[in-house]
Amino acid sequence: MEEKQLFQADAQHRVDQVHAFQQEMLELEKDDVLALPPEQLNKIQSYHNQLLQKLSDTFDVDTNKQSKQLTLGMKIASLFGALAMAVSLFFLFYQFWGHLNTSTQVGMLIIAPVSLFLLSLHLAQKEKSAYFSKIAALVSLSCFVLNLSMLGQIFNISPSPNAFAIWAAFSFLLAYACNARLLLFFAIVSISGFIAMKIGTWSGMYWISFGERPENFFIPSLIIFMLPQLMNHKRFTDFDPIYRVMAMIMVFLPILILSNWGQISYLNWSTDTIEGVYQLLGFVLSVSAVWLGVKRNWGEVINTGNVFFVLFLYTKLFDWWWDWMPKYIFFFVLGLSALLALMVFKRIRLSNLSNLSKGVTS
Amino acid sequence: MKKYLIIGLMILLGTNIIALSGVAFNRMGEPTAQLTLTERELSLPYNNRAEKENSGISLSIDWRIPTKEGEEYRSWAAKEINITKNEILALGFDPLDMKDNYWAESKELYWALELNGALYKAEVEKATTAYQMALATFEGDSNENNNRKQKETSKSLKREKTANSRLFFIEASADYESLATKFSEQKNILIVKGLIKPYFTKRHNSYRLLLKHLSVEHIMVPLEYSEVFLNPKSLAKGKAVHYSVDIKWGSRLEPWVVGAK
Repeated sequence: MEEKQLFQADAQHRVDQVHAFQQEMLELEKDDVLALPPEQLNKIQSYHNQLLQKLSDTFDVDTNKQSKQLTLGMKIASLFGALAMAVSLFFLFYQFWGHLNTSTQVGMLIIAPVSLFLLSLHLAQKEKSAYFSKIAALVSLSCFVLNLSMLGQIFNISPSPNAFAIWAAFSFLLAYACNARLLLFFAIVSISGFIAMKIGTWSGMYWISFGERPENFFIPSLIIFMLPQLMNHKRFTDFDPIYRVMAMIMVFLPILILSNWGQISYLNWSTDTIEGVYQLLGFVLSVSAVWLGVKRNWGEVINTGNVFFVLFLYTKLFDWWWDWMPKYIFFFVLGLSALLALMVFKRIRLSNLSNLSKGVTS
Repeated sequence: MKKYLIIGLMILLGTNIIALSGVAFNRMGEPTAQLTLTERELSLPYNNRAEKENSGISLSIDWRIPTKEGEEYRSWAAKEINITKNEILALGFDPLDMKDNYWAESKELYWALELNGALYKAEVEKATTAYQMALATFEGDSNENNNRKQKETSKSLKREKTANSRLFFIEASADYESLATKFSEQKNILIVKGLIKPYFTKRHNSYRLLLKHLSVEHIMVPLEYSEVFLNPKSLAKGKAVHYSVDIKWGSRLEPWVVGAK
């Protein structure tokens, strides 16, 4: 399984590369730039066919467009299937638990996540594409969430934030064992929530109220953003972008909230000052994110930075002008600002293209 | 894959062992409180659509605060009390937050609650006085408004004597021991954890303590005692269901049912 995960993303990349090569060859032949002798063409084609067949057999990669579309459909079906089964389990337990004695309840609550966990690991080893192992893993996680929350109810245990750390640990484990992005998403949400709750507790609040101070999310956001730099995710599909986007959402959303409601900040300044500082910070950070994304070639960072820059800009414009400006002028100004942004992006793009062409000619 | 298996099993089984050990620890030794609560203090879950699919029975603890001094008797009062600045500081809240923002974040503190004690008796007396005053006014001037008021106060008095919760909030503290020592002689005192949020009201120019909720608001009824609460005839006819439940609170101030009839 590990070896398979190690190369599955690479294998798909290789398949895409072969298709790109074949298409470009056709274009070059059509424009009379290159014409390979038929023997060589046949040799290449036969090599590619063999390679594609081998990659398809070994790694279950998509070797054509139809296969890619079907894979997407399967991913969507497995996502909905897993979520629906997880919800169904909650209701199933609620429906019957009142008719069971305490020891049976506890036994069921422990056995369910353990057996589904074992099943998910078994399927992850057997399956090529791991659809069913991911479903089993998600249902196992939901059983574990049910396990701890129901133990809390059965024994009237005082609620504790530590449950989120445990759920995060199990989600991370399943995400890495089954190469599942959805589980990674749950893991990041749980661990960030846990850290934010702990920070809130240290600052004197009750842990459930952690959302009352959005700044509680800044440290988890930083940790989550740094994690992909410290870990190698080569064998896991799109794990790095999930870490980065989640981290950015966790820093930008609190800034957006604090730039409008400064009174909920930890800072002991006047509300206007706090809001002004966070508005400025929002603009600076979103522009920095776009810059970092361009520099490191992180598309998701560029897009997230762009979205939040626009949000910061539009909330500010709304704040300044909505009340006193006629609505048609307000929306006209919004349109103009979008055109201005378009021109700026066009200039950056042109300058990038000219740098690229200089590089090619030199 | 083996390392995933080992770590995963450690997380799943280890967590359950720790959680169940905590439950056992709570129930070991002498309970911190043992009370018999009735339907007046423990309400059944609402029979709404979502609850219909929930076969478990979880009773919620109904507690009250006494009518404030100088105020008219009310069977229901907002769960907040007046408090001084120094008392807020003694509870461990930050005074600066109060001044600048008019509120502070909620804290989990220890609450002392009294069952069927002096506070309840005082409340019955207040309800009786309110009824007697309304009756006297009605006898002096028997208009429709006075008639309605004497009927309402009569109903309130009846509810106070037979239906309203007798579990009253006495005080909160940041320290369990001080409450336990203070009320050590009284058997009808329950000390539990609950959430409290202080705030400053400009309108009344005073500090208030909002008593949000108990940390453990619901008590699960195990299968062996659930028969008492499954009385379909009375539930179907909408009749009042009478029950009493023996509950213990352990060293972690977490409750469990030890009997029901």
